[in-house]
Amino acid sequence: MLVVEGKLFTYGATNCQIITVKLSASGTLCYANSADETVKYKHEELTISAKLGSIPREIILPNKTLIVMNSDPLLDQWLSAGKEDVSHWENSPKAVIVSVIAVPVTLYFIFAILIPQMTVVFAPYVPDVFVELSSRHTMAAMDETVLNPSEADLGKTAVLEKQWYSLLTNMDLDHEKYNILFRDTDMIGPNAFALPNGTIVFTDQLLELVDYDEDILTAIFMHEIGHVENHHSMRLISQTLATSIAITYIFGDVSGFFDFFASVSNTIATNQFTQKLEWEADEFALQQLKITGADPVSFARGMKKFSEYAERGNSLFTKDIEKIVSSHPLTNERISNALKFAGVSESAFAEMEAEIQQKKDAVKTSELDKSGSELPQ
Amino acid sequence: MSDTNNPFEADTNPEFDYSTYTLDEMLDAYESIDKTVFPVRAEALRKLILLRQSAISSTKYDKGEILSVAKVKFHGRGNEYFAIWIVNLLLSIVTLGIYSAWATVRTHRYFYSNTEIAGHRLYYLAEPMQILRGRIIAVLLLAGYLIISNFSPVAGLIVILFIALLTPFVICLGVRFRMRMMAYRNVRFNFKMRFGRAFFIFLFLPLVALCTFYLAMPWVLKKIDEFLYENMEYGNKNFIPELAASEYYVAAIISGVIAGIGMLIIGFSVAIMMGVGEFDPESMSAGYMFTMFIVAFMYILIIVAATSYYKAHIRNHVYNNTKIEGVASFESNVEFIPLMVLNATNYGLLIFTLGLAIPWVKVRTARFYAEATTVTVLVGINEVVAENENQDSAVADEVIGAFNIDISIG
Repeated sequence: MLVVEGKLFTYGATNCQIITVKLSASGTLCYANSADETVKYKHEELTISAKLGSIPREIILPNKTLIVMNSDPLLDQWLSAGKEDVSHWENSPKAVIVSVIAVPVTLYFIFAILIPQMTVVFAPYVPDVFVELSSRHTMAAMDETVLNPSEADLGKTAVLEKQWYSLLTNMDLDHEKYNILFRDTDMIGPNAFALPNGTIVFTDQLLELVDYDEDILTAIFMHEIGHVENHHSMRLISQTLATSIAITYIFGDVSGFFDFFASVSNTIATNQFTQKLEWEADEFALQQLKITGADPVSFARGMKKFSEYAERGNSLFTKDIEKIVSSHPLTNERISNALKFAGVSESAFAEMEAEIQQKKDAVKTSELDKSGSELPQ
Repeated sequence: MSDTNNPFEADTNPEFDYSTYTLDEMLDAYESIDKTVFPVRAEALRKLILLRQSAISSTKYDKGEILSVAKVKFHGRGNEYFAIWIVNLLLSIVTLGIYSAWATVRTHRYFYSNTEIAGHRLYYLAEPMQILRGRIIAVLLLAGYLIISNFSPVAGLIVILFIALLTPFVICLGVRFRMRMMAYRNVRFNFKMRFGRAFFIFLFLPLVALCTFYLAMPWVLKKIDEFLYENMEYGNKNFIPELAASEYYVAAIISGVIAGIGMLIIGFSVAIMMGVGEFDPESMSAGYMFTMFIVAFMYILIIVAATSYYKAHIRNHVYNNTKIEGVASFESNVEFIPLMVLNATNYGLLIFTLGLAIPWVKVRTARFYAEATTVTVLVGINEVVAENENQDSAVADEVIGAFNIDISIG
């Protein structure tokens, strides 16, 4: 028999009475109540709180009386009556070591493999009506805020549009959904983006940055088609959705200043994912350029323009940090990837660039000469 | 009691812990103990009684009123909790979050049941199924919101406005769930729902603060704390806070001064570093990174210092001026510097262990606050009875509880 000291509380009252509880090997609990009568209960009549660390054990009797006893190996053994629960693992060094290793591994598996894979499977099945609705709302919201009507040279944009629409009809895809737009912007700079319903927007600033170079713009256009064809928007949305839900769910009880870590890891996970999507779109653009008979080097030239533009702006940004936090892959890596695909060496690329620049300069000077000669002497 | 298995039979364990007893219980035990059989224990008990009696004599209550005066004790241990935490985290992950409800209950039980006030532990009473149900609904709502806001920014905005309007309900339900799931000496805490007042406090007063360019903010924060505490109940007894807005102003001003001085120091040191190292970003990018790192580090330190001061000041004020009618009064003496060191080292631990130190951080934080808190328990506690325990397991309660909205209480 095991004799343990306990604190007894009758239902709904704070009054505490110290009692001596006798626990027999046959599974009965007995103690002397305040009237000094012996009260007996069988093990199966008791509601016993699960063992947890070394916190006191609580027993609720059928009449809702609460008995609290200090945790003790012999008492725990009597209360568990041979059954094992989670506390068994919590007390096992082996289980703890396994967990320390398995937690990061499974987290990596869920966030880096499982969720992105699921988005690939589910994204194409997002109903068209949602895709259309979300694209229209997004475009309307952007027109209200960061975009203005285009002020670009209408003659030049018309040429681009004509070329691109004819290109689309020759590509193996649902060309009717595509819609090309030009917009001016003060906020987002030289950029192009695609909405999931096939709306592709070029900013005037981008046209100016690449000097209306048709080859470069076509390469960028292909990249944006790559985003649409691979359902990247929907994959991004479902990725963000799944990641936020998983983080809330798994770390649900981690509140307060741990939120900070959750949001940081969410951002990093999402950005790593968007980098992956950018690579996919790049790959699509390069393939399509080759198929349609254009030169994939144009894509490298476009990227070069971006990197020159970026260097003018923020040269202090350290590359390693950029690699982790940026949503786009490093521009230099993308340039070398495109060159590798086209089978052009870095030095040959530099020569090509110089040559094209020379030609452009020549055209400009001749135009200048022309306009100059027309002036009355 | 001749059984040899009885662990308490022989007087071999002089560390038998009587300190968890109230004075009355100690006196009872001292009277009934056989002093010739248990001489060591009797002597230890006598000493404890003398200590407890002198502690009681230094308070403002009549001796007859006081049951005990004691510091809150936290018995949790970092290593023990780490094992519990990591095993439960793994189970939560491999069950894709289903087990997280059980893990949450275990975590709360661990912290509540390891907190000892005047010889008795707190208890956490929520059932895992309650939490799970709430959490599933919460996740569905969250997913719904994320989907809506992704498909239409305007609709997302409307949802946010709607949520903002519901904030007072949400806060009240959240506090109520937390209070109702906590018990001490077999009686639950509670939170009275006063929605009208909640709207005034959580929606109207913040607007007032905004209109006064935040000059009224400390007063608003005082009103919020007052609202939360005056609606808390322990069984059939009310909490009575007597808070002063002036203390909130003092806390805000001193924290502001700390932050201001800190920012000046950062400004000066950056200027000096800029002057010493010639700043060519191309050739000195490592040096530049290092400087940025130091600046970010100092910036976080200043935020920690300012918030620690505010937290210490306000917690002490609130605890020292709140009591439970005829049942208990509280005393808090959190000191600014130790709290700042605690918070700063916690951040450091979390960053350098990539979050693996969470269990130790939580345990040492709980211990720190416990050690800074003294509770005077009055004889009135013996008359506290539970309010009729109608278990209205309103789904809203559980959803909000599962969202685990944390409003700093104290």
